[in-house]
Amino acid sequence: MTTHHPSELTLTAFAAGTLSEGASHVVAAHVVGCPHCREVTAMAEATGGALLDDMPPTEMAADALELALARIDRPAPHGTSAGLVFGRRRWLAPGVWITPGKIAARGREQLYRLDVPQGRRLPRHSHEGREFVAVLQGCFVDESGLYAVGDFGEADASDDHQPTVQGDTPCVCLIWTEGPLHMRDPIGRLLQPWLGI
Amino acid sequence: MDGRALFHEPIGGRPALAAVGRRGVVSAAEDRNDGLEDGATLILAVAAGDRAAFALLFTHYAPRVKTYLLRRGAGVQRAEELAQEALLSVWRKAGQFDPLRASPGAWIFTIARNLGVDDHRRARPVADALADDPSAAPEPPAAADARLDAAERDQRLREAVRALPADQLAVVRLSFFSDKPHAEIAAELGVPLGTVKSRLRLAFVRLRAGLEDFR
Repeated sequence: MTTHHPSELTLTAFAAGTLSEGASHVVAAHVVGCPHCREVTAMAEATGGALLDDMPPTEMAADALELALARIDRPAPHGTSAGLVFGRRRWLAPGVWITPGKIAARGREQLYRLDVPQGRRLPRHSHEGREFVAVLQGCFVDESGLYAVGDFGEADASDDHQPTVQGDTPCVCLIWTEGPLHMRDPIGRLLQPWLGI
Repeated sequence: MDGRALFHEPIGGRPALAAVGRRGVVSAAEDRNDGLEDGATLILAVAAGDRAAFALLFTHYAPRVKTYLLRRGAGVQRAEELAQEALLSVWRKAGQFDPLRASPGAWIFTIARNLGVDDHRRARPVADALADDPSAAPEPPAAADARLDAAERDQRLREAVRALPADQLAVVRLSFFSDKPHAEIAAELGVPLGTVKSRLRLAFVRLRAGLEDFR
């Protein structure tokens, strides 16, 4: 049962198409399987439709309709690349793997899949900016609760947490961070340049 | 019907517009901001290859989509091209439109949004991941009564949006038309981030309440 959802603010930005590519992949991973958030997203899209209906018109070129009618039977332009593409996975620690997603990054944001074995505790950290997490497999627990498959975690710069993988399977998450992590303990700080996150 | 010939004739009130149903013929000249009257019927006609219906949709929606893209930050030339492209997508995808799921405006909004996003990042928009979901597949064509209900639902939502208090509407608008982080939206409005969040939440409560009977 999904208990952690994206905020309404985040779902609205998702429906409005104003999230960065990396952020929207993580929200999409949650929304696809969450009827509640699909409903909120549909509502936000309906609101977008109402705003569009209320837009003042901007004049199109005089021959715009003629051009459109002339192009109407041409085949659709071939689509752009499909879905999310991942790069090579890298080993971080025993059982811990990071697989970067290929995105058109804004600023210092990153998108990656993180595989962490059962029972593993990650270094305590905070973030520069926001962090979105969608749990794809297994579960983890941190100060804000238990996150199982389908859950969505949303943290901002003021949150400082230490996730621990629970249960008897590895935990797999799709993670987007707006800026670098700040490690809160000496080992983490030592490893950070090498972790690259 | 030859599209070129059509273009040189007045479109409004053409009796050949067979698909315009029980709510009467739509005038091409109308540009009230109430959505296009019976836009759903027009999109279904477009799905059947009706160019006259397409011309009506184009005349109504292309200039609004252009405004939307301009507000999203597209240049004038790009906004014109993308508005063209959006309406051509309406022609190609009309068969996927389901009036019970979305209003014509909402459906065209998602098309324009995806083009805007795509143009911005030159990659596939995330919303397509949702479109692949089997439960999101179009349902069989709706009965006329259900369609009228859907049209009323769309009208109610439009009215609910217009009736939002100014401070809530400002947050909704900024959420839709600027890709600034919420913290910047808060700064722009001169209120704390928590206020932006609560205004948006309140706005959604009102919009839902406006649709209460349709749930």
